[in-house]
Amino acid sequence: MNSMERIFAAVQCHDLDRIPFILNLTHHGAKILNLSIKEYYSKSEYMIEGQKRLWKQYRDDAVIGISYFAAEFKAWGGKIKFFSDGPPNSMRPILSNPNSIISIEPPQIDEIPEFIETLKTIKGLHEYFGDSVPVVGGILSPFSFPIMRMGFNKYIELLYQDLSTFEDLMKKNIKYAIDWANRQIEAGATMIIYFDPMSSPFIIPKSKFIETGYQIAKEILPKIKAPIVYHFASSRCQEVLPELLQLPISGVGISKQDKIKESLKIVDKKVALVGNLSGIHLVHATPAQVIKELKALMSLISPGKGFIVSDHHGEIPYFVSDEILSTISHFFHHSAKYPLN
Amino acid sequence: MKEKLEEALIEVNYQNVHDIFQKMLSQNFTLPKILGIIRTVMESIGKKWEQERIALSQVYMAGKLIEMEIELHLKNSKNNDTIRNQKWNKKVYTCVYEDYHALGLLILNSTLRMAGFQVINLGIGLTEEELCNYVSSKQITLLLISTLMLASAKHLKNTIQSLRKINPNIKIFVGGAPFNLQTDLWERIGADGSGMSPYSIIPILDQHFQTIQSSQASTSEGL
Ligand code: B12
Repeated sequence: MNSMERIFAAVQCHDLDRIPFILNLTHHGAKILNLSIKEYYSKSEYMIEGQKRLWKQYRDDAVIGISYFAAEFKAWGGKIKFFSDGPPNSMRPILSNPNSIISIEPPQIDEIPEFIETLKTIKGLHEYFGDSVPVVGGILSPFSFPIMRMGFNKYIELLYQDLSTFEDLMKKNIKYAIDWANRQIEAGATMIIYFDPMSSPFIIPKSKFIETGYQIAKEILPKIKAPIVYHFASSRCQEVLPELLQLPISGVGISKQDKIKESLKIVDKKVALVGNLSGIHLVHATPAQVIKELKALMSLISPGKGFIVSDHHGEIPYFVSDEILSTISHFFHHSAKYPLN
Repeated sequence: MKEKLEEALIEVNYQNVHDIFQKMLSQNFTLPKILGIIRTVMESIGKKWEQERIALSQVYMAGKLIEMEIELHLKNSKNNDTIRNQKWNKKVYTCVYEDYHALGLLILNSTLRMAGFQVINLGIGLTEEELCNYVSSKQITLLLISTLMLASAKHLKNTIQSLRKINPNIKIFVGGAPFNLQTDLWERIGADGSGMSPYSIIPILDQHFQTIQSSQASTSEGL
């Protein structure tokens, strides 16, 4: 089985040769090419080369076509800050008044250098890997995006105080998000990760999610023309899994805080679960501890259909060493074959 | 009263919260009594969040509603004096280091204010140099730092060393997602402590101020 076949078998909860794993390596590409993170993200050539080299080194089951979320914030007029050893960040929110935000037109995808580089990266990776390795695309859900644009506090207040302005704010965001996802698919993305931590019961109660984020997802997801993984960026989601099953998705990214056995029971092979290693733990863990953790994870997901092992955030921290990544890779290539012991 | 207030806050029910405050005032509750109720209720809300029984938006809105009511009913000159007297020797400095994620800081500040501390907010996105300048110019002895990014949390290690060179007695508490996700991270970077939610740091701060007070008392007795 190649990685593409393995991932699709996992998503459809079919039999497969071994447990699939995706390392979610993004800025590690800069490390392997000996570039600064800022330089690395500036050109699709670097990102393509970085992903190829990372894949050759660790042979995980997908390559990552997307870069970093602060790029979206920049595209809508915000300032961003680069770090030498971590992903770039949005700086101060652009406007805290939702009405001023509503008046801003969405960016044109073809005019934003960061988006152009992402599309070129996805295209380049797709051309190179063809149908053998999935190329992961992804968008920030329009429901989660205002955290950065407005500031988290103002956005929470809006959700409790003025749902009609909230709906206006969503209208423009929705169209833009669908376009952005479909452009990635046209460029060659195999699947789209829909990052929506705002919808996590960690951040809003389930009742609020059903009233807001869930409605947005219902509107957007059917219009995205590829398999979708609903992802909570390491915040928990077990409580809302029954609702997620009503959406046209193929997988859900679960958190370290979610209980694997219970979650598998709830989804009942209707969608795959993706998770739930904590990248931050991997920073300080020894290889022996990582192997122990992987074994414990395997025993929980056994017999193992419908589960893709991955970090629970969607990006492994820059500080995670080659030794640890190689340990994980070796484990899956040697100890995660079916039938599982 | 406490249960009702907690319930109204968790439901983010403005009207009920307002009515409960009106009731406390019409029943002539003293200011210290009202502040005591607020502290207990907010501590319980913080615990519920740590136990994953309520969401962060509810914690934030609860603090917001309480602060609105305090502003509306309790801010008059007499009360201000009482509040100030309670706080005069409980001064804490807070900030976000290197990144710009302000919500954790806002919740921290409002929690500490409601628990009777005088909070001085140094701002967000602070660099090592800015923090060092603040610590020396303001003679800071107690600093609470929030970060959301792992890189910022790790960079804090050097910064904390620099701050301790300026003031070897400074107490530094840290918090934010990386510290919650890796519970020994605060020790690794040389901080004095951390808390999953701002509520869990209050007893530690209380103890810190008690120690100072009793050492001041014993010094003055010695004199
Ligand atoms: C929602 C979320 C997002 C949202 C926006 C977040 C925002 N505020 O801007 C979106 C989807 C946009 C996002 C994007 C990104 N995110 Co994000 N995100 C989260 C998530 C799920 C919640 C973060 C949050 O805002 N929580 C709410 C605040 C209030 O919580 P808090 O700061 O922890 O504060 C609480 C306590 O910690 C405490 N506290 C805070 N400070 C202090 C201080 C003291 C002294 C004490 C006692 C207590 C205390 O009080 C608060 C209330 O209890 C976390 C995962 C998680 N489980 O936490 C990841 C997380 C923060 N994200 C992370 C990352 C890396 C990113 C990105 C850089 C990814 C990328 N490559 O693009 C971007 C950058 C965002 C940006 N602003 O530029 C990482 C950061 C750690 C790391 N690996 O470096 C996290 C931790 C995920 C992970 N598991 O690794 N993210």
